[in-house]
Amino acid sequence: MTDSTLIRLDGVRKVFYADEIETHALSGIHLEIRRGEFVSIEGPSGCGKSTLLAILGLLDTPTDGTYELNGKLVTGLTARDRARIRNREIGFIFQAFNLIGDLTVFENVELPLTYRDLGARDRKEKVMAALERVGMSHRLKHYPAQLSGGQQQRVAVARALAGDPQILLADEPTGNLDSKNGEAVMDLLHELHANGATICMVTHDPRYAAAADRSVHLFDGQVVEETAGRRAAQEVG
Amino acid sequence: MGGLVQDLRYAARSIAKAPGFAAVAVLTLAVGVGAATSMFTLLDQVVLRPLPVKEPRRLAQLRWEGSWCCSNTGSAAWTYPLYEDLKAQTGDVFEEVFARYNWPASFGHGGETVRISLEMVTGNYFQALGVGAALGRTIGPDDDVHADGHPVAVLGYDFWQERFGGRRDVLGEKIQVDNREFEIIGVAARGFRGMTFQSAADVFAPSKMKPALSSGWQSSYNLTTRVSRWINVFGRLRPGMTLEKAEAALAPVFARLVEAELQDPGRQDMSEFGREQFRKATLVVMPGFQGPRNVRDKLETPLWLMLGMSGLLLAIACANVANLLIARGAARQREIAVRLALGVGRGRLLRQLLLESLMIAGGAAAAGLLLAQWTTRFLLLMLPNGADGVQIQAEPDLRVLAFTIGVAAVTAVLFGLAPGLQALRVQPAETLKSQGGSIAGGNFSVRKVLVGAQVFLSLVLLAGAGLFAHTLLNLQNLDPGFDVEPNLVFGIEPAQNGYTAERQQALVRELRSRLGALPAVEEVGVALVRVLSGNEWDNNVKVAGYEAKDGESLNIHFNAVSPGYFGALGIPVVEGRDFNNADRGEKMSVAIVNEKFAKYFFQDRSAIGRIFRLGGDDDPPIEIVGVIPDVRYEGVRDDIPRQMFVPYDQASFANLAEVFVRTSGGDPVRVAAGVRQIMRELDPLVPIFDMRPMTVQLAQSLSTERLIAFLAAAFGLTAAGLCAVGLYGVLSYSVTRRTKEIGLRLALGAEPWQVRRLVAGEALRLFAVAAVFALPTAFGAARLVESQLYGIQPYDPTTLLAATVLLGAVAWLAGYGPARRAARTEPMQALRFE
Repeated sequence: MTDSTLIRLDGVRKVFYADEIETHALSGIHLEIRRGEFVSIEGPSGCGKSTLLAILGLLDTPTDGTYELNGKLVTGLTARDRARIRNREIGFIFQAFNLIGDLTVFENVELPLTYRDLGARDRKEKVMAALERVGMSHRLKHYPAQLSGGQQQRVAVARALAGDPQILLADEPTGNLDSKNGEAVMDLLHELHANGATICMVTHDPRYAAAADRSVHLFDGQVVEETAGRRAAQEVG
Repeated sequence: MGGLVQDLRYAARSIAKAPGFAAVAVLTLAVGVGAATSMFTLLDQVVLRPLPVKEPRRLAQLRWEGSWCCSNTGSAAWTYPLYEDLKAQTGDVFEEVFARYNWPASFGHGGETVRISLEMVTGNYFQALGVGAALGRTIGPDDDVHADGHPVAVLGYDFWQERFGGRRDVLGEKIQVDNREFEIIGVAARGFRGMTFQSAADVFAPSKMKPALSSGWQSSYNLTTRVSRWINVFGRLRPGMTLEKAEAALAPVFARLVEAELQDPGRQDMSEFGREQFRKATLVVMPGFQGPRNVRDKLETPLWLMLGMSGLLLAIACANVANLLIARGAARQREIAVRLALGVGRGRLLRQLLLESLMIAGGAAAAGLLLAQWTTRFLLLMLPNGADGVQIQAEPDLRVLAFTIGVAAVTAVLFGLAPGLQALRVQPAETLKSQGGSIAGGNFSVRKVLVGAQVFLSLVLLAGAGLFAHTLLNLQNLDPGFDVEPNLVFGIEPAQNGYTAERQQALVRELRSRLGALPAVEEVGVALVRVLSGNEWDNNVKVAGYEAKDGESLNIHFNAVSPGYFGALGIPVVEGRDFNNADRGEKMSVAIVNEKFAKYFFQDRSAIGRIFRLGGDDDPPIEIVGVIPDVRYEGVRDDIPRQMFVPYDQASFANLAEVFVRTSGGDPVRVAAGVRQIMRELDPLVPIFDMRPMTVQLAQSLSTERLIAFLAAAFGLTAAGLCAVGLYGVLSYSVTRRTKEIGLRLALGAEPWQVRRLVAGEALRLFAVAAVFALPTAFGAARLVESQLYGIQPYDPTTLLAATVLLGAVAWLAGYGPARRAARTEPMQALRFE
């Protein structure tokens, strides 16, 4: 693992047990993501994409194997430590945006910061900066229901960015958007990536997958192929 | 009609599909309905319900309002001659004027003597009330003409059933009432138990038989005296006559009667001031549809208060069920949306939902009635003498049934309407589509408002319960001024068995002597009036050397006590001497007074050797020979009055003997068998009554306060329990509804304790907001019932704080489970449907 490696999975397996039936969601995944890299994870439904992303986001723990984040082994951490790492080092972008309906745009973006020991002024600065980055600072007091889907997802991106995470994990970020808004969100992610953000995105849309630096293809819980994305190819070319 | 049947079927099926929900809703509501029904059962029978007689609203009770010069048994009492005057002179106002008085009497039949409740009635009593006989005939005018000339009796229906097994051949049988033989001429109609609420009549006898009855007090309260009043007078108003009109019409008649009264020889030594005061008296015509109201009046405020508290409890239960229905409505949104989409009108849907509520309320009414019956039976046991003799039935009758059904119907609308209307706000198109992209938060105001209301009402109830419990505690801790624990007390009334004063005094002396020889007995004393029994005897005194001011009350509380009385009760004689066996004779010559008496009349000078008289200057002088500390008399709640005690053996009028047996420790009841044995040996026909340890006597003197405190505590704690269930339900629902949000928060880095704080904080926030409104309300409500409190202010901070802390703890506990569950949410599970 080089200094530029942010994430390293080694032999990660995930087995679910339900009614005495074993389901192997992931089988021996080896994966490295470098700082500043934009990686997409592709594959058909049920191939383990979301499980992989959940393990990457410390929302779930692997049954086997090791996971190093930013040079630290994070498998075997307590729930409390995992929560802290999620809060400080990982930003999540969900397909369904997952903004809280009762909270304003500002409050939604501020939410992860409230779980840190940050003063109100610091939180406000970070929230405003994040909203500026996604172009939503003019909608501070709006509620999610008052925004379009594209705007909601931009707010969700701002929420993911607000805590200055090491990596953004995006789970089908365009899945609930029409193509125009989908394009806009992808442009936003590329812009963030261009400014140095590390992004790992699950998608089943080949167009968006191809736009990443690297695409990891999953099938039946295994990495079956890794390809350089169009953008990477263009850069190499 | 067909639609309604269909809706009923649908509602029944819908409830049957969720038996758990239905059971919780029915039981929750049953608690409230049961409490309200039980309170109504008591209130109705004590305060609201008229006597079971013909046109009870036309009955009026006559009351002398103002100064009365001499002895009496209460301001609703009249002398017998005054009753006869009123009867003769008020014919244009009343169809009938009749009188009655009830008194404990001795009843002998079949070789057994028991104490019964006797109602002495005038000859037109049954006729005026329109009450007939279940067997034989009732007392008529011809049975009440000559003094001591009509030894006939009518049995009360229940007494006939209990004592005579309902035998129809009792007519003509002889019974002994107060040592006089009476012939049974009939049995009163079923359901009629006389006119006194607190003491159902066992036997009715003509009023003219007074000389043969209650012989102990016959000498002063008789058929001819105009100075001692004892009988209650009622009238049946002529049609169209109102109480106000009657009072106005009777005013001139009454003024003439008052003037005539002043000419009576017994009032010749009245002062001019006293005469002026006497002339100011007025005749008050009161509603008489419930008979004498003294006990009813005493219980009216507490019972209304309890009904109000039970109403609050019912409101809490309604809020709980409404919350359950809203939660269920939320779960049924898709079903409702489908029905709306299929074209069911919103009105029809609301009817269906309300029918479900009515069915739940119906179940609650049935369960509540059962609960109410048990509760009422239990509460009757808490009354001063248990349920004995009190005219209250725990079994529901039509009135109670109507109340319960009415309450259930109103509550059905109350708890069913809001959830029904909310369910109807469902928009079919949106509901049937998949949900949007934002997560529902914790804001669902109707349910929170309902729970907030529950917290609010619970805190008001708990604060009230605290104040009443504190009141009871204060009264229980009050020192009556004498020893309670070691004493056993019982009563005998030998006069009812024909004893003369001398024979009775001899019997009492012998009884004292033989009881004193029992191994565990330390001291025996006898009194005319039992302390802490709610009874008292008072009279005006004239103290030598003391100039009374105009209008100054010289009314002093009396008791006649034997040697050993103060010793038995552990009351020291602080100055002078105790009574001894030499204090005997026909006239009262010596007295012991309490310090309050001594200080009032003699300030710092010694009271010993001072003289006073009962009544005028011609009455014999009584010398004060001793002083005792201030001790309580009627009840612990009453102020200590100025008191004086005369020797029992000088009180020829003392018909009763209340015997205090001081034991050497342990349970005083252990000497009861010995007491009964000795009494049987002395005279097996003289019954012992009301035997109990003094601790029980003290407890019974606080029975109303205990009843209030018990009910208030029960309502308060039940309310807190319902509130906890409500809070738990809302928070559980909130956590379920917010699973995704909580999962998101955890995904974004919230730690479990932060999630726990979030959920528990919601409970505490709800609690805090409700408390802000509840505490001033509790204070305001407590001011309304200030008269029921003792030794505590309505704003007592300790009580309010204790209630707040208790309910706060309940809120926290209610929130703990859902908070813990929320903190255990798996983010992956919560966000699984990504």
